Amino acid sequence: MAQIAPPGPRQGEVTTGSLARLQGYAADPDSLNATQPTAAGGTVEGSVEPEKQGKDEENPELPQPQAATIPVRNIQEQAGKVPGVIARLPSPGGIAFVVIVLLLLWVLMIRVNGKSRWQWLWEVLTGNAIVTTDPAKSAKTDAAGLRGGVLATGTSDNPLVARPTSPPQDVTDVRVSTPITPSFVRSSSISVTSE
Amino acid sequence: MNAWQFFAKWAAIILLLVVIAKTEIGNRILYYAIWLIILYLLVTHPQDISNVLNPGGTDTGS
Repeated sequence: MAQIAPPGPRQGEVTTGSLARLQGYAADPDSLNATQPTAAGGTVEGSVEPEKQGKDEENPELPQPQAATIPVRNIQEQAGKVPGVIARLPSPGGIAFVVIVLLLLWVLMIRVNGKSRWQWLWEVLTGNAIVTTDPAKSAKTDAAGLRGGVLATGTSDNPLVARPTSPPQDVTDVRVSTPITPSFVRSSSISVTSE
Repeated sequence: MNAWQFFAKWAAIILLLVVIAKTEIGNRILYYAIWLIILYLLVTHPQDISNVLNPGGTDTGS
């Protein structure tokens, strides 16, 4: 005899093997007498008992499947509509785009102690600034090996402070009012005379 | 807190955000939360934004 396979489950539908066969019997009552494959790989003829066959003839429509065969989409709907609304919200560009925009804004535009983090990174790489966690401690360190210039002070909101390595004129003086001129410029004098 | 603890804390935070972003709902929530953060930074740092967009402008602000 030809083997008639029961119809497959609908998309998203969770069914067991035996219930799938029952649904197949409802669609094609003649398949009750056909050979059916078993889990062991063999075939069984007339696997349905005559009592069940009689019931199927009287009531061709089988009762609704139990909890094991509820479609997954029904479970999602019952779980609440709020997550579905949130999931349907549009996200143009994706989360990667907004993360890149945020990083560009944070690194290139937002200034800390007068300079952006990108500028401070360049200052550190070129040796014109140091990174420290203790502004008071770094002030003493700078006083020991100072070369002259402006010393930026850190804030409590920024524990990692990038500070220029060039020192102030005085340890207590944090700003330089006059620019530093090289010796060869100071020694030479340029005079313009009119004839 | 030393440097290792600092980087370990931020690595844990980033890993947690990545796990949240892998879910569908978490992805949406993070998307709009980051947009709100971007808008907050744009509103609270107008001078920094103008300095970047217009480097030749004055630094005294409006």
